[in-house]
Amino acid sequence: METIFHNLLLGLGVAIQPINIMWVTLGGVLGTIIGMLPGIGPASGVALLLPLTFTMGPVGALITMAGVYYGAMFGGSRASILINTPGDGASIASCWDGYPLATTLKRPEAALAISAIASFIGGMIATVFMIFLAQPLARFAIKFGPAQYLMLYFFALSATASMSGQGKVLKGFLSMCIGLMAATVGIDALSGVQRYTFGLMNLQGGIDFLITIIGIYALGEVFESLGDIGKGKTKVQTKFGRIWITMKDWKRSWPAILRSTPLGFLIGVLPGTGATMAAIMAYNQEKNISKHKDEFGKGAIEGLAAPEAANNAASVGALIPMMTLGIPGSGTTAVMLGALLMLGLQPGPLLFEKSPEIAWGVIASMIIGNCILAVINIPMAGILVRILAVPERILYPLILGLAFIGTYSISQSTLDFVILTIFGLLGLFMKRAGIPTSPMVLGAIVGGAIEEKFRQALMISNGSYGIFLGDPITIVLALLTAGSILLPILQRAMKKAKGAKAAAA
Amino acid sequence: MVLNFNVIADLAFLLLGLAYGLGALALPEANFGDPMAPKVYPLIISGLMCVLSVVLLASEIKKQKAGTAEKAVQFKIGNEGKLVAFVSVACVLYAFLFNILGYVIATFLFVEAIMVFISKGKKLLSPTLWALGFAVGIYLLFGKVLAITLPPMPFLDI
Repeated sequence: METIFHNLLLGLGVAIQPINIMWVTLGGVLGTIIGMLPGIGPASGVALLLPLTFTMGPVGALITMAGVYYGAMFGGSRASILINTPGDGASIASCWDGYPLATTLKRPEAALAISAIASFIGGMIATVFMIFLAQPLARFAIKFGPAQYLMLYFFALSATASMSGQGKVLKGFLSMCIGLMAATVGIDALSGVQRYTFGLMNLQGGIDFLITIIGIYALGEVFESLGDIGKGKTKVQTKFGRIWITMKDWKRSWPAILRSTPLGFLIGVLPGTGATMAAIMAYNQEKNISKHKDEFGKGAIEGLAAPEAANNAASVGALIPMMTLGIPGSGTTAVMLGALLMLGLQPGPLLFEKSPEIAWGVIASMIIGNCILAVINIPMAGILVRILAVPERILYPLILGLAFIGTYSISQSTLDFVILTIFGLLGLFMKRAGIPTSPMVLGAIVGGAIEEKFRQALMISNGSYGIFLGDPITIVLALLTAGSILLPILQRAMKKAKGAKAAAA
Repeated sequence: MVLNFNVIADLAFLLLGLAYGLGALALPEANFGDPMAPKVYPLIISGLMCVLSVVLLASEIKKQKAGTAEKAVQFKIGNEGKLVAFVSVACVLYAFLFNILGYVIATFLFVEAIMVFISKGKKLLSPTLWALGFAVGIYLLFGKVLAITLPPMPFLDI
């Protein structure tokens, strides 16, 4: 207990430095804007803003990127509420009651206010959970060797692939394979053999996974949206009364917020399940236990509060495996991990031992960041949503421009522009074929580490594969991996059995 | 068999998996340690990928027999196809002209061309202003503030 307070004070000392307050504000505002814009989510947002973090140093970079992540959770709902188009995946559930509340019931002020309040409370409580959970988890993971890490990577990957959605499990794994393939291009670090470089000098260093990410997310999303430009654009309301809620709204919302926060946090911590699933599950949970079920979908204020609290809590939870274990459990945290590795910082258990001021500085900055975001998103919401009025024919070309300058800042090579375009087209193709893209991105980022740990473990064991099931930790992780693969299959089988029973009866 | 997006994707990924696996077999052997070491991991991925695409293809064919599959892909280039093709070509040209014309001119042309194409040439003034502002703004922000070396304008040393 004492050490937690000691660490938190250490972190606060870092977080309240004016420069870091500036970074968290910048990250939060940019994140809110990115979250608002339909088409770019937090993962592409972090990737696009990456060049900005080069000069900040690791602490500033991590603080800014975390700010972008949870800022996007605040911003995403603005578009859901006002134009019924989620700004990012995690705010889909916010459309269901947010939009009717703002339009049919003509209470956009209450909708904007409750979503920011719920986001704030969800984020704050989740940060407190994180404060208590981070250190023990990091301590536990510090004993992990290559075999344990490999099994942990397997679990993260298989969970992400199998959580891809109904009937998409195989496609999720296919997507993962593509990512793993992309990671093998270049000189093999352990033997010096060139693999899949086709004699090109530029490929010897491998395909930078940041380029994979920018290509798949940013370009892929722009390509996918090109056909929809000018279709059914709703006019954005930009004039509001006082953005606040009534006592009655609050009484209906607070239990929903308090129930959804732990749920969202837990889902966020688990690999594979992100803020999107957290928000949808929280919404369904509220709907199931509500006394006025009939109001859901027609502007029930708790139906907006629940997913908003949950997605913010999930975004905080998702940072835990990334920071304490060095394992990303979602697209956005994968991008953050990649960015940190490039800045020369290895997140993981050693981060808490060797540089507690960075680890705790970031955690403490999240408390400050949440307060700043609440201020930005409640009184200033009217100004910010004007961004939604920028037409797509202007917006998308600018996103492309940002993607290219981001790529150039990473590698200073225009060959990467071509690779970027190819990945953009691949992203479009995969979306059209219904293949999820997150497992691929995750695979591209951890692929190199997986192979390295795989071969290191085999060297330790003199080539015996028994090492991968050699101790309780690897066995538990292997069981979890198998479970994550079997769960969707079992669910389907049970559904079928149920259906057969119903048909027989 | 109806050639829909699922079939095309499964076949494409099956081919990719096979090609990748053959590529792995053709890799040179390591000079030290286990000579096969660099090949094992790519071969595992290749195998997994081939199995997955064959299973997906089989289940798609089953679906088609049951009559629940998606419709065949129309090989007709619609509005979206044109936009994607134009933007992709613009991206490659941008890569080509980037170092020749310098950041500001190349970026201005790239952004302007896409904006004008999307609005079908109906709007000229606002795209031009946005493109110009973007090219110059990013050049100043990245080139001067963030100190990332960007190709300067030809003949003019700015």
